[in-house]
Amino acid sequence: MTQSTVDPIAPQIAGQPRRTPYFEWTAVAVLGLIALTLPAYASVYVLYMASLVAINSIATVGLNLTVGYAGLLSIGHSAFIGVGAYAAGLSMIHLGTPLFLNVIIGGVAAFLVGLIFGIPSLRIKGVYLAIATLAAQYSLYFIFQQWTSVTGGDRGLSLPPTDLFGMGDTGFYYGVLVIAAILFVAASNLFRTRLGRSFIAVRERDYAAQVLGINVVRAKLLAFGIGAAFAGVSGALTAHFLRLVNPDQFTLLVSVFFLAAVVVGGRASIVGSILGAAFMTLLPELLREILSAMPTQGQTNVAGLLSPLREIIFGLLIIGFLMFEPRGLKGILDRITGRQDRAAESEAD
Amino acid sequence: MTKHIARLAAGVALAAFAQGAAAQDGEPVKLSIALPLSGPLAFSGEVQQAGWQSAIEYINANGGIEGRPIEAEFYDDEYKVDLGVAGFKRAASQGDLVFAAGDGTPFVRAISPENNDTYRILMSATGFASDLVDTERYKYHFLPGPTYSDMIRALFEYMVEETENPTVALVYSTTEFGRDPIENARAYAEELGVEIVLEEETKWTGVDVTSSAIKLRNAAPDYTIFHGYAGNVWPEIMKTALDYRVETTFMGTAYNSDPEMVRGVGPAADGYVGVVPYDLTMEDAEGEYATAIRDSLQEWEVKEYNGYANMGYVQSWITALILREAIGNAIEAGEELNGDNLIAQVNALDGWDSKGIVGDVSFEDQRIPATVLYRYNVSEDDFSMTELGEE
Repeated sequence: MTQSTVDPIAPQIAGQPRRTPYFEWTAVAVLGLIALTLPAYASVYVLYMASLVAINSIATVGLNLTVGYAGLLSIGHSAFIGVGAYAAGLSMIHLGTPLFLNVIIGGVAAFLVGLIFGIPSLRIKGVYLAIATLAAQYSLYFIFQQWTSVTGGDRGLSLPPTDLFGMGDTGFYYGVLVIAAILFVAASNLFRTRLGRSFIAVRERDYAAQVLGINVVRAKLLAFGIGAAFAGVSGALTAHFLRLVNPDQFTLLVSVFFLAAVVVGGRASIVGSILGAAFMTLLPELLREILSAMPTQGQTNVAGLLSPLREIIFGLLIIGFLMFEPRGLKGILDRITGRQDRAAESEAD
Repeated sequence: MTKHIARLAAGVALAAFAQGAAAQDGEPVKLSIALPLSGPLAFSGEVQQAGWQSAIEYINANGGIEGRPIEAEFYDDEYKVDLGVAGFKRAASQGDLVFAAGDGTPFVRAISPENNDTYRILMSATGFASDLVDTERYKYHFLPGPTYSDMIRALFEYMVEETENPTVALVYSTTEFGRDPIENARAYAEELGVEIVLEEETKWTGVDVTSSAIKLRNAAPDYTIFHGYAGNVWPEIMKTALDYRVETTFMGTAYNSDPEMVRGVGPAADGYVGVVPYDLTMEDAEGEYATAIRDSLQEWEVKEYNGYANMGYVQSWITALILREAIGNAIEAGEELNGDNLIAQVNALDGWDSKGIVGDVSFEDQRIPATVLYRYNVSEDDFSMTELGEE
């Protein structure tokens, strides 16, 4: 691996004209405006999908903190989402706590559980660590399923409705938007701090990081814990969103979904995480709309046509990203905007 | 005389045309149907989709619902709750949605509170979970068949008729639907005088079933019920148990009593007793709807017709036919096609002739409590099903 100065704040690509910051700020402002005004013209379905993208983005950012920035491969992420969902759900049922408090409860619960399951990362790494995180996946799933008196077992927990600001779906959408925005800004700023940079140093070479005075144990555990906390927040929002928490929402396949979102979006990138989550969540829907618009000779079996096609396209896209753009959608975005992400490039090298 | 016949023929042709034209010209009755068309349960979703398509084609070709054609949009939700809810909201946001089908009980549990409060759309799903009889919680949902608990009870009742003080082993998967009827099964066993000598929970998939087979040998039950599986585990247990000389009558519910699945097990399944919600033997089908199902199966290009229907296929048909009846009655009565009116019309179906699918249908707690029991006769080169009680 190339030793490099890791700076997540991207510098200019040599020889290429860089777009002015006005371009980026304008893009952010336009996207923000669209997000804020969406309920005025979008259907409940569009709002639902937008909320789902935001919730999945939070979980993907969390996984990227652990996997992308700190280099600790985890395939137990959905179990941490489950911890947040159950903690929030139980709190809502028994204490009647509101959404914003439940989000904190879910995040803290998952953070603590993440710390425990982060312990193996102190001794092992790579695929060995990935296998160890399976323990989190399976043992937590087992608890969700078997601790019937608390978790409701297989049938799970049915939750009361959430009516933020008396605005129904729109209120929830704004609530998710606010929470997501706060977390994305927090995650971005984390890598301007000593702790965030220690994650990257540990990823690059943990022995070297230790020699430099970084507390590797603390950094690794916190990388797991903070990643899990994001997952917990996502889980708490999912619980409010679907009004149902059951074990089958937190399977290994869901963890793989988020890993794929990290790969497709771009490792070690907050923007990449959001793009990856949006891509993974919306692609099936976009494909569905595209195929619906195509003439099918009078047949209405769009779903039947789409299903095998979508799986093939999904697989091809992930292989395509791994082969041709290891930096994912963030890499493509960087090229468009004339930016370069050295951290991700060094990782890709 | 010739003129008279010509007029009569012209009249019949005109009437037939008018009926067909009415189904084409009326305002469509919109249905949204979510199914697992990809992912691990795609095999089941594809069959159900084929059932829906042929049933809708049949209904539309026969005048639709009071002259209005059915227009169905399918949605692949991969058996994921969040996608199922997305599909529901997508269809609901387009307006005029009359009915929404889901692909499993978790979806119904997720959407029902919101549907009860906000959308009020008639719905159904493919799951037979026991709690679906809670008509307050699942206000607009109807189950076109019995619950898993009903099926277990039917098997217990059969045992009591056949054997004095029967003993039974319950072998089920460690899934939600595997465990679903177990609590009720204990209560029914006590009520009917059936002794449960073994409750064995196994994985949903896997091949190492030795320990389960040994437990069966030690428990030596008169009957062994498999519940909550799809294509594997239970056949392996059965084969291994037979190797161990376990003498028991094997039984199964719903999906692991599907003819195609039992046939696939081979001679080990000879004598197997299964409980299903509908008549699945097509060769001796009687009644308009059962023969229509048989005709559609014979025309289905994906699977070769073998004389038996898949349970999911028939379930799609009966759901579509119940909708035709209930929606048709609501239209006739001049009622708005909302959840309240339509679920009332479904519940009002009393002694409705299912024309060969499952006898006369009456709803009880928004489900059809009827069951059909078969004995499966399986050899290397032959397969048949005998309906129990009609021997």
